[in-house]
Amino acid sequence: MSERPSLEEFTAAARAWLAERYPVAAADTGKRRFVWGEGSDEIRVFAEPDPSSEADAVDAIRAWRAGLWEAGYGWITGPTEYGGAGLPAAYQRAFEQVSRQFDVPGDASLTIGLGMIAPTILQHGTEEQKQRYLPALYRGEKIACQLFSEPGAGSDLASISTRAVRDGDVWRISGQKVWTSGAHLSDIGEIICRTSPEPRHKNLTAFLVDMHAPGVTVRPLRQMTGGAAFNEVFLDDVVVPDTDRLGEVGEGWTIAITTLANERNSLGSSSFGGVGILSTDRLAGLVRHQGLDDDPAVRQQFGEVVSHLRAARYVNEVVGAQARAGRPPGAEIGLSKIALSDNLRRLGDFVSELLGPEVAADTGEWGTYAWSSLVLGAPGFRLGGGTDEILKNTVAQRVLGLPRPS
Amino acid sequence: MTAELVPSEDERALAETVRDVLTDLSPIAQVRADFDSEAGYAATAWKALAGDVGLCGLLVPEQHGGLGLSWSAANVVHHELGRALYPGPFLATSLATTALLAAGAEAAVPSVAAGETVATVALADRRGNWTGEGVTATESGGAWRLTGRRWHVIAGSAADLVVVLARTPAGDALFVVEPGAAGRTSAPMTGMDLTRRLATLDLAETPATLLGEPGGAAPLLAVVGRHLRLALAAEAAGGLDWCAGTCVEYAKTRQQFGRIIGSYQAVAHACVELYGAARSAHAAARWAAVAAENGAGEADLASHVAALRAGEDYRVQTEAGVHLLGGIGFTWEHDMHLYYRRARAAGTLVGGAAAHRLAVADLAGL
Repeated sequence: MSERPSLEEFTAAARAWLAERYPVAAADTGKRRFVWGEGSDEIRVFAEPDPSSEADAVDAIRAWRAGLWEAGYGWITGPTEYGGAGLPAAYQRAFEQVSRQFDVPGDASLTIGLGMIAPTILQHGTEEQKQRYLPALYRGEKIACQLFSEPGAGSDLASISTRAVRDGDVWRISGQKVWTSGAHLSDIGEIICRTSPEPRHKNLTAFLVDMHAPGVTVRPLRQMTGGAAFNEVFLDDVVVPDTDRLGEVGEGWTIAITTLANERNSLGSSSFGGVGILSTDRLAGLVRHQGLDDDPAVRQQFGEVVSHLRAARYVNEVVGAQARAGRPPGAEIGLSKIALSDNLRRLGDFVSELLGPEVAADTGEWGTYAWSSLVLGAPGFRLGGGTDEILKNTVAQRVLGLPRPS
Repeated sequence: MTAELVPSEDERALAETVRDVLTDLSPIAQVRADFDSEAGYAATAWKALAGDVGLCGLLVPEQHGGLGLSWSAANVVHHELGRALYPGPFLATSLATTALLAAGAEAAVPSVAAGETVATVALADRRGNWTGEGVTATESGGAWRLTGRRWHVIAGSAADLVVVLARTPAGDALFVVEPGAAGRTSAPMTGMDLTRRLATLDLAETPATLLGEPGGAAPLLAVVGRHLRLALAAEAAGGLDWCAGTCVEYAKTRQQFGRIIGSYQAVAHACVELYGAARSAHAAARWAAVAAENGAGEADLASHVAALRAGEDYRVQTEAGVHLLGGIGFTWEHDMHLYYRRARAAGTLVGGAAAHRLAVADLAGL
């Protein structure tokens, strides 16, 4: 085993590795200076890939992950027995920071697998599952999705009705899942099924299901933006070996909670999937383009919106600093996701006032009707990853210690 | 050393010391006794905080008799004082100290830093604007005299030394008016905030010492303004902390229709919003204080963001707090209204929400 490199050595080596393979990002910070009319004016709350180019994008992401894995950057904090580099979180942060200086493909379609499912497997999986799935996920060889919500089980996740029935060494799964991001790209899915008539929260079991198995049907779900970021997944007598059961029979609720806590952390903090939305420069550019930058009422509205965006960022930075000091956030991280939802609504309202009819109908002008996808996407953000109401219930009970509704 | 978003060991110890002194010497019963008293605050707690803990010298460099601490240390102190609604003249004194240090007038600082001289700033006209208009400064043979009235002077009746904004022929400037100066009188204003007294200051041919240059007020006011915004944001976070704790506790014990009211979703969510406001006000105040200490490019912007968001949350959530407590929250006996009063009044001391919004727009590049 080699000596652990110092953080400086590690960062320098990472920079050299990236520089050999990827072009330097336009600005050193990785954040391009906004110039009105230049480049794409795309704005998106949810990743709604264009099906014609999606396959190429996914190939590029897989190649990026494979390269990272080979070089030892694929799972920097991961245990060495599963192919990780076994380094502290500071090394991971340093790598993320330096990689922002280069034009890299990023992890877009892998964030669910890496951010939510891999940590769950690491925590609850068998030795054999960890060996089989963790390197494959971090290497970009397998893409994972999360099969939780159902048409009849949204906020009340514990009431799912998809059934898994034991049949010797295998389980047979039938039912329907919905709101599954990335199911159409995925190789494996973490699924929660009902496995017994036991009482609520004790009747569920988690599995890792092969998304290419016979009986799995994935259909894109078109949402109100017109795009399709999610899918419906139908399972018709899908056979899953008992070796792909995640955790004990009846332990599915605990496992679902682990995955949802991972989701909440990644949604609340930095890795917001939206494109082009939270740029103060772009917002100021729009005010100027509309000729409203001398209007004191508009300047006040702008100041109000920007103050909310900054304040949310300050909260996230304080939460991050507390986590690095050994106090990771609990359920209150859900409030950061609510703050982001609120800010998307504020932004949508403000740009709508600035644009008037230009947000309702496309005049062909750069950077104007583009905002309509924020206006149409924002209501969905308030639902995914726990509705505002569910998140507040969780904070009320777990953080404030208020009683459950009787 | 750069300041950190997570308070250092020393800062936590300082906060704990301040909290302990306040718990012992300025519990809410004492605060209530104070607002019925002549001075508006008690000598014992002030002596302990200013003299023993050395709070008045918090931001004063050690060579001028202070503790030489940082904005981030001031952040935790203002948080505790705001949480306890401490009525003594700490904010007034620290604003005056900041003005004196920024102007290079160190000679006056040591006795203020030692807590021997109570100081304040008198900057506002009747409408709260920081303008020299209303106080005329005239010079004769190198000696300045001030005539006119300042309004909304924090701790104006208690202060010995006052830093006054006045108009010279060359523009606005700051002056120091010494204790007992001729022609100087002050009168208490009847005010909404019972735990922070305001007063008027009248000057009639009062001798004064010029700080900096005639017409040189703007850069000094900028520093004092930022100090005030950071302080009030931290106080708001502390006050919200008290409100959240108090209201959640009530929601856990009060029963109606045979149920603990905190089990009703509407009540639980109101508690969560109050808790969330305390959390984000704290983060904004802390972030802005650390940015000020580290000289970050966004420091001024952050101070306006913190004052605006923490101030608005304080205002909105103290009203929500009165509501959560029901009828008892609307009584004189319950302490909730003292925080509601503080929140309403504090928001007016820094130019108000509209001024912050406009400043954020300017500083964010619109």
